[in-house]
Amino acid sequence: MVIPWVGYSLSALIRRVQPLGSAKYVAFTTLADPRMMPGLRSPVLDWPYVEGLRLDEAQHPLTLLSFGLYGHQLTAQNGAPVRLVVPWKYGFKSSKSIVRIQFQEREPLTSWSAAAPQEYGFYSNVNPAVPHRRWSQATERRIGEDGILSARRPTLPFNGYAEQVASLYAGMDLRRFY
Amino acid sequence: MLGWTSAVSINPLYLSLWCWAAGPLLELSARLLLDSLGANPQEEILRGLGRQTLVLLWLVLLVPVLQRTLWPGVLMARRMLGLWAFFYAGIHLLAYAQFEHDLVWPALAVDAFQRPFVTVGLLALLLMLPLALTSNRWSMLRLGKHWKVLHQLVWPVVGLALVHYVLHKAGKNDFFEPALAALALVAILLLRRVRLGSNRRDARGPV
Repeated sequence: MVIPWVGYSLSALIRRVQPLGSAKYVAFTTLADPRMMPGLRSPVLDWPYVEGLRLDEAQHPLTLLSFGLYGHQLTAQNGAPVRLVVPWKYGFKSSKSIVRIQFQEREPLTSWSAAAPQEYGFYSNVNPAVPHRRWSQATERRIGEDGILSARRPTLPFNGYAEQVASLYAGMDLRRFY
Repeated sequence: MLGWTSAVSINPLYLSLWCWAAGPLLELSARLLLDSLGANPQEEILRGLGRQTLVLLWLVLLVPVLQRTLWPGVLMARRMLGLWAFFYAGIHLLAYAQFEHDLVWPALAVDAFQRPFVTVGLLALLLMLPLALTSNRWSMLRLGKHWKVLHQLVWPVVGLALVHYVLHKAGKNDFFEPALAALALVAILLLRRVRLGSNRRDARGPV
Protein backbone atom coordinates (compact mmCIF):
# COMPACT_ATOMS: atom_id res chain seq x y z
CA MET A 1 0.00 0.00 0.00
CA VAL A 2 1.08 3.55 -0.58
CA ILE A 3 0.01 5.54 2.46
CA PRO A 4 -0.19 9.31 2.96
CA TRP A 5 1.30 9.68 6.43
CA VAL A 6 0.81 12.74 8.64
CA GLY A 7 3.87 13.86 10.56
CA TYR A 8 7.21 15.62 10.41
CA SER A 9 10.84 14.66 9.99
CA LEU A 10 12.33 12.99 13.04
CA SER A 11 15.40 15.13 12.36
CA ALA A 12 13.50 18.15 13.72
CA LEU A 13 13.16 16.42 17.09
CA ILE A 14 16.78 15.28 17.03
CA ARG A 15 17.95 18.85 16.43
CA ARG A 16 15.82 19.96 19.37
CA VAL A 17 17.25 17.43 21.87
CA GLN A 18 20.88 17.73 20.67
CA PRO A 19 22.28 14.24 21.33
CA LEU A 20 25.91 13.88 22.46
CA GLY A 21 28.57 13.69 19.80
CA SER A 22 29.22 10.08 20.80
CA ALA A 23 25.71 9.00 19.76
CA LYS A 24 25.80 6.73 16.69
CA TYR A 25 22.50 4.87 16.89
CA VAL A 26 18.93 5.52 17.95
CA ALA A 27 16.82 2.85 19.70
CA PHE A 28 13.02 3.04 19.72
CA THR A 29 11.03 1.19 22.36
CA THR A 30 7.35 0.38 21.90
CA LEU A 31 4.78 0.39 24.68
CA ALA A 32 4.25 -3.01 26.32
CA ASP A 33 1.04 -2.72 28.31
CA PRO A 34 -0.73 -6.08 28.64
CA ARG A 35 -4.03 -4.37 29.55
CA MET A 36 -4.20 -2.74 26.13
CA MET A 37 -2.13 -5.23 24.15
CA PRO A 38 -3.35 -8.80 24.64
CA GLY A 39 -0.91 -9.97 21.95
CA LEU A 40 1.92 -9.52 24.47
CA ARG A 41 0.87 -12.84 26.00
CA SER A 42 2.25 -14.55 22.91
CA PRO A 43 5.93 -15.48 23.28
CA VAL A 44 6.69 -14.62 19.64
CA LEU A 45 9.12 -11.86 20.71
CA ASP A 46 10.93 -10.73 23.81
CA TRP A 47 8.76 -7.74 24.71
CA PRO A 48 8.89 -4.73 24.73
CA TYR A 49 9.48 -4.32 21.01
CA VAL A 50 12.76 -2.57 20.22
CA GLU A 51 13.83 -1.16 16.87
CA GLY A 52 16.85 0.84 15.85
CA LEU A 53 18.35 3.09 13.21
CA ARG A 54 21.79 4.48 12.63
CA LEU A 55 21.85 8.17 13.63
CA ASP A 56 22.32 9.34 10.02
CA GLU A 57 19.32 7.24 8.94
CA ALA A 58 17.25 8.70 11.75
CA GLN A 59 18.32 12.20 10.72
CA HIS A 60 17.39 11.72 7.07
CA PRO A 61 14.49 14.04 6.15
CA LEU A 62 12.47 11.06 4.80
CA THR A 63 12.39 9.44 8.25
CA LEU A 64 9.10 10.59 9.71
CA LEU A 65 7.68 10.82 13.16
CA SER A 66 4.04 10.18 12.33
CA PHE A 67 0.79 10.93 14.13
CA GLY A 68 -1.77 10.06 11.49
CA LEU A 69 -2.62 8.79 8.04
CA TYR A 70 -5.17 9.73 5.40
CA GLY A 71 -5.73 12.96 7.32
CA HIS A 72 -6.85 11.16 10.49
CA GLN A 73 -5.11 10.47 13.79
CA LEU A 74 -3.38 7.12 14.11
CA THR A 75 -5.57 4.32 15.38
CA ALA A 76 -4.18 1.87 17.95
CA GLN A 77 -3.36 -0.76 15.32
CA ASN A 78 -1.50 1.81 13.22
CA GLY A 79 0.72 2.71 16.19
CA ALA A 80 -1.02 5.51 18.10
CA PRO A 81 -0.13 7.99 19.41
CA VAL A 82 3.22 8.29 17.67
CA ARG A 83 5.17 6.04 15.35
CA LEU A 84 8.10 6.04 13.00
CA VAL A 85 7.88 5.78 9.20
CA VAL A 86 11.05 4.78 7.34
CA PRO A 87 9.93 4.63 3.71
CA TRP A 88 12.97 2.81 2.27
CA LYS A 89 12.97 -0.01 4.82
CA TYR A 90 10.70 -3.00 5.35
CA GLY A 91 7.69 -2.30 7.51
CA PHE A 92 8.96 -3.72 10.76
CA LYS A 93 11.62 -0.99 11.03
CA SER A 94 8.89 1.62 11.46
CA SER A 95 8.26 1.34 15.21
CA LYS A 96 4.74 1.89 16.50
CA SER A 97 3.43 3.37 19.76
CA ILE A 98 6.85 4.68 20.76
CA VAL A 99 7.39 5.37 24.47
CA ARG A 100 11.16 5.81 24.49
CA ILE A 101 13.78 7.13 22.08
CA GLN A 102 17.33 6.52 23.17
CA PHE A 103 20.57 7.71 21.58
CA GLN A 104 23.46 5.33 22.03
CA GLU A 105 26.95 4.45 20.89
CA ARG A 106 26.33 0.77 20.16
CA GLU A 107 24.03 -0.81 17.60
CA PRO A 108 20.77 -1.74 19.35
CA LEU A 109 19.76 -5.41 19.38
CA THR A 110 16.44 -5.12 17.59
CA SER A 111 13.56 -7.47 18.43
CA TRP A 112 13.39 -9.34 15.13
CA SER A 113 17.17 -9.69 14.86
CA ALA A 114 17.17 -11.17 18.35
CA ALA A 115 14.31 -13.58 17.55
CA ALA A 116 15.49 -14.76 14.12
CA PRO A 117 18.95 -13.40 13.26
CA GLN A 118 19.16 -15.58 10.14
CA GLU A 119 16.03 -13.90 8.74
CA TYR A 120 16.12 -10.28 9.93
CA GLY A 121 19.17 -8.06 9.78
CA PHE A 122 19.62 -4.66 11.42
CA TYR A 123 19.31 -2.57 8.26
CA SER A 124 16.36 -4.18 6.46
CA ASN A 125 16.60 -1.88 3.47
CA VAL A 126 14.19 -2.83 0.71
CA ASN A 127 16.48 -4.76 -1.60
CA PRO A 128 15.25 -6.92 -4.50
CA ALA A 129 18.71 -8.50 -4.82
CA VAL A 130 18.73 -10.05 -1.34
CA PRO A 131 16.13 -12.80 -0.86
CA HIS A 132 14.54 -13.35 2.51
CA ARG A 133 15.10 -16.85 3.88
CA ARG A 134 11.56 -17.86 3.03
CA TRP A 135 10.73 -15.79 -0.03
CA SER A 136 12.21 -13.80 -2.86
CA GLN A 137 12.14 -10.02 -2.45
CA ALA A 138 12.51 -9.34 -6.17
CA THR A 139 8.83 -8.62 -6.78
CA GLU A 140 5.84 -7.40 -4.79
CA ARG A 141 2.09 -7.17 -4.77
CA ARG A 142 0.60 -3.78 -3.94
CA ILE A 143 -2.21 -4.41 -1.50
CA GLY A 144 -5.35 -2.40 -2.16
CA GLU A 145 -4.41 -1.42 -5.72
CA ASP A 146 -3.66 -4.61 -7.60
CA GLY A 147 -6.37 -7.13 -8.42
CA ILE A 148 -6.36 -10.73 -7.33
CA LEU A 149 -4.59 -11.93 -10.49
CA SER A 150 -2.50 -8.82 -11.28
CA ALA A 151 1.10 -9.44 -12.27
CA ARG A 152 3.57 -8.77 -9.49
CA ARG A 153 5.58 -5.56 -9.68
CA PRO A 154 9.36 -5.50 -9.66
CA THR A 155 10.56 -4.25 -6.28
CA LEU A 156 12.77 -1.17 -6.49
CA PRO A 157 16.01 -0.80 -4.52
CA PHE A 158 15.36 1.23 -1.36
CA ASN A 159 11.66 1.06 -2.24
CA GLY A 160 12.20 3.65 -4.99
CA TYR A 161 14.09 6.15 -2.79
CA ALA A 162 17.59 5.12 -3.96
CA GLU A 163 18.32 8.61 -5.25
CA GLN A 164 17.64 10.08 -1.80
CA VAL A 165 19.13 7.45 0.52
CA ALA A 166 21.60 5.19 -1.32
CA SER A 167 24.48 7.51 -0.35
CA LEU A 168 23.92 6.61 3.32
CA TYR A 169 25.23 3.13 2.54
CA ALA A 170 28.08 3.96 0.17
CA GLY A 171 30.81 1.36 0.46
CA MET A 172 28.71 -1.09 2.49
CA ASP A 173 28.12 -4.65 1.33
CA LEU A 174 24.33 -4.65 1.38
CA ARG A 175 24.20 -8.43 0.99
CA ARG A 176 26.01 -8.76 4.29
CA PHE A 177 24.30 -5.84 6.00
CA TYR A 178 20.77 -6.63 4.90
CA MET B 1 -16.91 -35.41 -9.73
CA LEU B 2 -14.56 -36.28 -6.90
CA GLY B 3 -15.42 -39.75 -5.70
CA TRP B 4 -18.86 -39.78 -7.25
CA THR B 5 -18.10 -42.42 -9.83
CA SER B 6 -17.08 -44.98 -7.25
CA ALA B 7 -19.80 -44.33 -4.71
CA VAL B 8 -21.92 -47.44 -4.56
CA SER B 9 -24.91 -45.51 -3.43
CA ILE B 10 -25.18 -41.91 -2.50
CA ASN B 11 -26.30 -41.97 1.08
CA PRO B 12 -27.07 -38.81 3.02
CA LEU B 13 -24.03 -39.13 5.30
CA TYR B 14 -21.70 -39.46 2.35
CA LEU B 15 -23.34 -36.50 0.68
CA SER B 16 -23.10 -34.35 3.79
CA LEU B 17 -19.39 -35.18 4.19
CA TRP B 18 -18.87 -34.31 0.52
CA CYS B 19 -20.54 -30.95 1.03
CA TRP B 20 -18.57 -30.31 4.22
CA ALA B 21 -15.31 -31.02 2.34
CA ALA B 22 -16.35 -28.62 -0.42
CA GLY B 23 -17.27 -25.93 2.14
CA PRO B 24 -14.03 -23.94 2.34
CA LEU B 25 -13.77 -23.85 -1.45
CA LEU B 26 -17.26 -22.41 -1.69
CA GLU B 27 -16.60 -20.01 1.18
CA LEU B 28 -13.38 -18.68 -0.34
CA SER B 29 -15.03 -18.35 -3.75
CA ALA B 30 -17.99 -16.48 -2.32
CA ARG B 31 -15.76 -14.14 -0.30
CA LEU B 32 -13.64 -13.54 -3.39
CA LEU B 33 -16.73 -12.54 -5.37
CA LEU B 34 -18.01 -10.37 -2.52
CA ASP B 35 -14.57 -8.79 -2.09
CA SER B 36 -14.57 -9.74 1.60
CA LEU B 37 -11.28 -11.60 1.89
CA GLY B 38 -9.70 -8.79 3.91
CA ALA B 39 -6.66 -6.63 3.20
CA ASN B 40 -4.57 -9.48 1.77
CA PRO B 41 -6.91 -11.76 -0.19
CA GLN B 42 -4.08 -13.82 -1.71
CA GLU B 43 -2.75 -14.75 1.72
CA GLU B 44 -6.25 -15.57 2.97
CA ILE B 45 -6.84 -17.89 0.00
CA LEU B 46 -3.45 -19.62 0.30
CA ARG B 47 -3.83 -20.24 4.01
CA GLY B 48 -7.45 -21.32 3.71
CA LEU B 49 -6.58 -23.94 1.09
CA GLY B 50 -3.59 -25.21 3.06
CA ARG B 51 -5.58 -25.46 6.26
CA GLN B 52 -8.37 -27.46 4.64
CA THR B 53 -5.80 -29.86 3.15
CA LEU B 54 -4.49 -30.59 6.64
CA VAL B 55 -7.97 -30.95 8.11
CA LEU B 56 -8.94 -33.46 5.41
CA LEU B 57 -5.70 -35.45 5.78
CA TRP B 58 -6.20 -35.65 9.53
CA LEU B 59 -9.78 -36.74 9.03
CA VAL B 60 -8.71 -39.46 6.60
CA LEU B 61 -6.55 -40.88 9.39
CA LEU B 62 -9.45 -40.69 11.81
CA VAL B 63 -11.90 -42.51 9.53
CA PRO B 64 -11.04 -46.07 10.67
CA VAL B 65 -11.60 -45.02 14.29
CA LEU B 66 -14.95 -43.45 13.42
CA GLN B 67 -15.87 -46.56 11.44
CA ARG B 68 -15.51 -48.70 14.56
CA THR B 69 -17.08 -46.30 17.02
CA LEU B 70 -19.47 -43.51 16.22
CA TRP B 71 -20.03 -43.94 12.54
CA PRO B 72 -20.06 -47.41 10.99
CA GLY B 73 -20.20 -46.97 7.24
CA VAL B 74 -18.07 -43.84 7.11
CA LEU B 75 -15.28 -45.89 5.58
CA MET B 76 -16.87 -45.57 2.16
CA ALA B 77 -16.22 -41.81 2.34
CA ARG B 78 -12.51 -42.13 3.00
CA ARG B 79 -11.47 -42.21 -0.67
CA MET B 80 -13.62 -39.16 -1.36
CA LEU B 81 -12.03 -37.28 1.56
CA GLY B 82 -8.55 -38.26 0.41
CA LEU B 83 -9.28 -37.02 -3.10
CA TRP B 84 -10.58 -33.77 -1.72
CA ALA B 85 -7.32 -33.41 0.27
CA PHE B 86 -5.35 -33.92 -2.95
CA PHE B 87 -7.56 -31.42 -4.74
CA TYR B 88 -7.08 -28.74 -2.04
CA ALA B 89 -3.31 -29.39 -1.99
CA GLY B 90 -3.25 -29.03 -5.77
CA ILE B 91 -5.02 -25.68 -5.87
CA HIS B 92 -2.95 -24.59 -2.84
CA LEU B 93 0.13 -25.07 -5.06
CA LEU B 94 -1.58 -23.43 -8.03
CA ALA B 95 -2.52 -20.41 -5.89
CA TYR B 96 1.05 -20.19 -4.57
CA ALA B 97 2.47 -20.37 -8.11
CA GLN B 98 0.06 -17.66 -9.27
CA PHE B 99 0.28 -15.26 -6.33
CA GLU B 100 4.00 -15.58 -5.61
CA HIS B 101 5.41 -16.30 -9.07
CA ASP B 102 2.81 -15.20 -11.66
CA LEU B 103 2.77 -18.85 -12.81
CA VAL B 104 6.42 -18.67 -13.88
CA TRP B 105 7.18 -22.29 -13.09
CA PRO B 106 11.00 -22.05 -13.31
CA ALA B 107 10.80 -19.51 -10.48
CA LEU B 108 8.93 -22.10 -8.43
CA ALA B 109 11.62 -24.66 -9.22
CA VAL B 110 14.24 -22.26 -7.83
CA ASP B 111 12.05 -21.89 -4.74
CA ALA B 112 11.91 -25.65 -4.34
CA PHE B 113 15.70 -25.78 -3.97
CA GLN B 114 16.17 -22.63 -1.91
CA ARG B 115 13.35 -22.65 0.57
CA PRO B 116 12.78 -25.70 2.78
CA PHE B 117 9.07 -25.01 3.39
CA VAL B 118 8.44 -25.08 -0.36
CA THR B 119 10.56 -28.21 -0.83
CA VAL B 120 8.69 -30.04 1.88
CA GLY B 121 5.28 -28.90 0.67
CA LEU B 122 6.00 -29.91 -2.92
CA LEU B 123 7.29 -33.29 -1.76
CA ALA B 124 4.09 -33.90 0.20
CA LEU B 125 1.97 -33.11 -2.85
CA LEU B 126 4.18 -35.28 -5.05
CA LEU B 127 3.67 -38.24 -2.72
CA MET B 128 -0.08 -37.68 -2.80
CA LEU B 129 -0.10 -38.01 -6.57
CA PRO B 130 0.30 -41.82 -6.79
CA LEU B 131 -2.34 -42.18 -4.08
CA ALA B 132 -4.83 -40.07 -6.01
CA LEU B 133 -4.03 -41.83 -9.28
CA THR B 134 -4.58 -45.29 -7.78
CA SER B 135 -7.72 -44.46 -5.85
CA ASN B 136 -10.01 -46.32 -8.20
CA ARG B 137 -11.33 -49.87 -8.28
CA TRP B 138 -9.30 -50.82 -11.33
CA SER B 139 -6.00 -49.84 -9.65
CA MET B 140 -6.99 -51.65 -6.46
CA LEU B 141 -7.62 -54.87 -8.36
CA ARG B 142 -4.57 -54.41 -10.52
CA LEU B 143 -2.20 -53.67 -7.63
CA GLY B 144 -3.69 -56.28 -5.31
CA LYS B 145 -1.80 -56.45 -2.03
CA HIS B 146 0.65 -53.82 -3.24
CA TRP B 147 -2.14 -51.26 -3.16
CA LYS B 148 -2.17 -51.26 0.65
CA VAL B 149 1.60 -50.95 0.79
CA LEU B 150 1.52 -48.04 -1.66
CA HIS B 151 -1.15 -46.27 0.34
CA GLN B 152 1.03 -46.35 3.45
CA LEU B 153 2.50 -43.28 1.73
CA VAL B 154 -0.18 -41.34 3.53
CA TRP B 155 2.09 -41.37 6.59
CA PRO B 156 5.04 -39.52 5.02
CA VAL B 157 2.50 -37.20 3.39
CA VAL B 158 1.03 -36.31 6.78
CA GLY B 159 4.49 -35.92 8.32
CA LEU B 160 5.69 -33.66 5.53
CA ALA B 161 2.49 -31.61 5.63
CA LEU B 162 3.01 -30.95 9.34
CA VAL B 163 6.68 -30.02 8.82
CA HIS B 164 5.60 -27.71 5.97
CA TYR B 165 3.19 -25.97 8.36
CA VAL B 166 5.83 -25.62 11.10
CA LEU B 167 8.46 -24.26 8.68
CA HIS B 168 5.96 -21.79 7.26
CA LYS B 169 5.41 -20.35 10.75
CA ALA B 170 9.02 -20.69 11.92
CA GLY B 171 10.23 -17.25 10.85
CA LYS B 172 7.83 -15.52 13.20
CA ASN B 173 8.12 -18.04 16.05
CA ASP B 174 4.36 -18.38 15.88
CA PHE B 175 3.86 -22.06 16.54
CA PHE B 176 0.37 -22.02 18.05
CA GLU B 177 -1.48 -23.38 15.01
CA PRO B 178 1.11 -26.01 14.02
CA ALA B 179 1.23 -27.11 17.68
CA LEU B 180 -2.55 -27.52 17.60
CA ALA B 181 -2.26 -29.60 14.42
CA ALA B 182 0.49 -31.75 15.97
CA LEU B 183 -1.61 -32.26 19.09
CA ALA B 184 -4.60 -33.33 17.02
CA LEU B 185 -2.39 -35.75 15.10
CA VAL B 186 -1.07 -37.30 18.32
CA ALA B 187 -4.64 -37.66 19.57
CA ILE B 188 -5.67 -39.38 16.34
CA LEU B 189 -2.67 -41.73 16.50
CA LEU B 190 -3.54 -42.63 20.10
CA LEU B 191 -7.17 -43.24 19.18
CA ARG B 192 -6.07 -45.45 16.31
CA ARG B 193 -3.86 -47.39 18.67
CA VAL B 194 -6.57 -47.84 21.26
CA ARG B 195 -9.40 -48.57 18.85
CA LEU B 196 -7.58 -50.49 16.17
CA GLY B 197 -4.64 -52.02 17.97
CA SER B 198 -6.65 -54.20 20.41
CA ASN B 199 -7.37 -56.82 17.79
CA ARG B 200 -4.51 -57.35 15.37
CA ARG B 201 -6.41 -59.68 13.09
CA ASP B 202 -9.29 -57.30 12.93
CA ALA B 203 -6.91 -54.40 12.37
CA ARG B 204 -5.86 -55.91 9.06
CA GLY B 205 -9.26 -55.01 7.81
CA PRO B 206 -10.08 -51.60 6.55
CA VAL B 207 -7.41 -49.41 8.13
